[in-house]
Amino acid sequence: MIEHAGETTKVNNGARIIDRGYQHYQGIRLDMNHSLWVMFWAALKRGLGLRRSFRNKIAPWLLIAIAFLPPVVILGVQIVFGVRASSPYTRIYPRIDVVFILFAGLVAPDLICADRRERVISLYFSAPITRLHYIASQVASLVLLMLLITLVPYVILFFGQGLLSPAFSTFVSDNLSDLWHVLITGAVLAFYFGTLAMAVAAFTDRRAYATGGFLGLVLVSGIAGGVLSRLHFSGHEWFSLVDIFNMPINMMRWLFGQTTAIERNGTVTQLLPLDGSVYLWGSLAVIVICLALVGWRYLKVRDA
Amino acid sequence: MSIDLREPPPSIQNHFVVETKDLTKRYGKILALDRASFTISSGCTGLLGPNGAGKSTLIKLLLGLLTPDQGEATIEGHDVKTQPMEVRRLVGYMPEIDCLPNDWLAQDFVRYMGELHGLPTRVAIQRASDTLYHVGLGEERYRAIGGFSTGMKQRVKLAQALVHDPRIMLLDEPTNGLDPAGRDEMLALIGRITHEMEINVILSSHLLIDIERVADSVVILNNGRVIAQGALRELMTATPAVTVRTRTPSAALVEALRKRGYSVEANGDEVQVEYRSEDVYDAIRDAAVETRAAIVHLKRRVLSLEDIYLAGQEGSPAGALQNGHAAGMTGGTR
Repeated sequence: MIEHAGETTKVNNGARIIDRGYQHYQGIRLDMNHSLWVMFWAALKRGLGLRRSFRNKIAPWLLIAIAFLPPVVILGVQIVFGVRASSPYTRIYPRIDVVFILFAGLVAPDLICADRRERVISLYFSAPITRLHYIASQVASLVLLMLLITLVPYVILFFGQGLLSPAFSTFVSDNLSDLWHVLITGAVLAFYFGTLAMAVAAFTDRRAYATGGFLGLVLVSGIAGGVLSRLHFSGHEWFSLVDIFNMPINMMRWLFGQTTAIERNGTVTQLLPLDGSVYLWGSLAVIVICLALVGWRYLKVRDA
Repeated sequence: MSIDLREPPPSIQNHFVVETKDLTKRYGKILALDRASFTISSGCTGLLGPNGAGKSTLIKLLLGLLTPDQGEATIEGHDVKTQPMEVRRLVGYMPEIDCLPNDWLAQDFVRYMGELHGLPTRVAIQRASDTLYHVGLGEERYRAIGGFSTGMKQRVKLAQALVHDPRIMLLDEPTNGLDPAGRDEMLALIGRITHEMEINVILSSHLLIDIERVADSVVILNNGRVIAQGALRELMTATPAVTVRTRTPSAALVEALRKRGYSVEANGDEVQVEYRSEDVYDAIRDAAVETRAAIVHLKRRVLSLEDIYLAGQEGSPAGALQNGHAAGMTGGTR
């Protein structure tokens, strides 16, 4: 029931409940930076399934837990058995890569596909924000969520190992290059898979298609790049750049100086078909292209 | 940085809430809006027209969501083309389409929309609760929108347009999909927004009865053209005819009035006499005395909005006036 302004209900002890009616707002109104922050924060919560049903919380929190598992195990082993794993990052990243891909593939569509399918963006764009503000906030929140799994566990691992070592400062100064490489790898992986998943999700309003499309793209490109780069023809090694699954991993190997592998029979295998810096630039190029695609798509997308 | 919305911009030199001039929008070969020129004053204004008349296009142009191909429009003195952000701060928009996120709580979503319009978080939380209460969803505000009925969803759409205390609300077909009771409640709410909350409302609808019930003025669109505009009361009462009903059909009365220089149309016992001035009443009295006709009904004709609407659709407003189908229309399209 709608009560009208000025209506008063008497209750015991002389107290009164007064319907003040509609109140005009005379206070401050914040600018677009506030709106940007609001959208960013809302997307963060959405990505983590906060204030949503339990079903929406399962996938992100399970993947986050898995991403934290290797550092926790390594630190646990070191605490219990006193065995310190030396520079474990090159062994973890290629194996945990699939968690990053799954996380990006599941969360990116959750952030932007539903807004278009349910046509909520027609309301968002009627607010004093631009389309680029909207999509920038969504991309930024996904990248931050990605950093939670690509960077945070390994920074914790680094400093955890430091704290468990006899001298923390000596450990940090001796392994400072590892810390830099972890920071760069974590950041590139977060941006790389985050923007790639966003770019795919920007082209469909169905979450399932976006997730499937992204995982399919990564899988097919991985297979195609792997097969083509192993064929024997001039310039075949450049086809390793088609492999978007392994491109940031190759970059990570180059950063950590792991460009060769010794087989069981003693032969040395070249892990990187091309110079390692090519994979860094290739990863950055993919990030820029994906951001451009997402921006272009949202300038074109219908608002209603 | 903070923005004071209640301070009117210095550029406002008149009392018009909305002003458009030669506003034109094309979608490829389709001309959605054709040189629409009109003004809207404070109060509730109906934007009337059949589906495809250009109402939604006009609203999106006013919001700065679309760019006009030609012409200009201002809202409270702000140019929609060059100052879309300022315009959107002033405006609350309720789209026609179903556009609510199903898995959000109503309170969270309305608060979120308030924050997007620049309200600080604490204020947005308080106003979201208040606004949902005002639209009749006080008890249901912590429920997920996906479980709401159509009527409740329309109320959430209204609440999100109202939460930031806009100066103008653009409501696109707000009664769409509602049952008669829901429609009544929605129109009552719109009436409250205009008169109690003192927020200017532009109400787009293809339902004459909705506009007639709540609007103070009207802009009628057809095929992208403005075919009539003005205050509803003036449009409906500025009739160029007086209806005279006699006990029995009286050809003599018709003849006597024609002799006095009036254009008269007779239909059985009902006679429509052209209205030029108040003198027409004296002429009718004199003619009745002269012909001994017994007048049982004498009234200046009041049109329904439907008459005005149909007249506008038939052709030029001027022509419609001549034919006695409609009155008081001022074409805003050149």
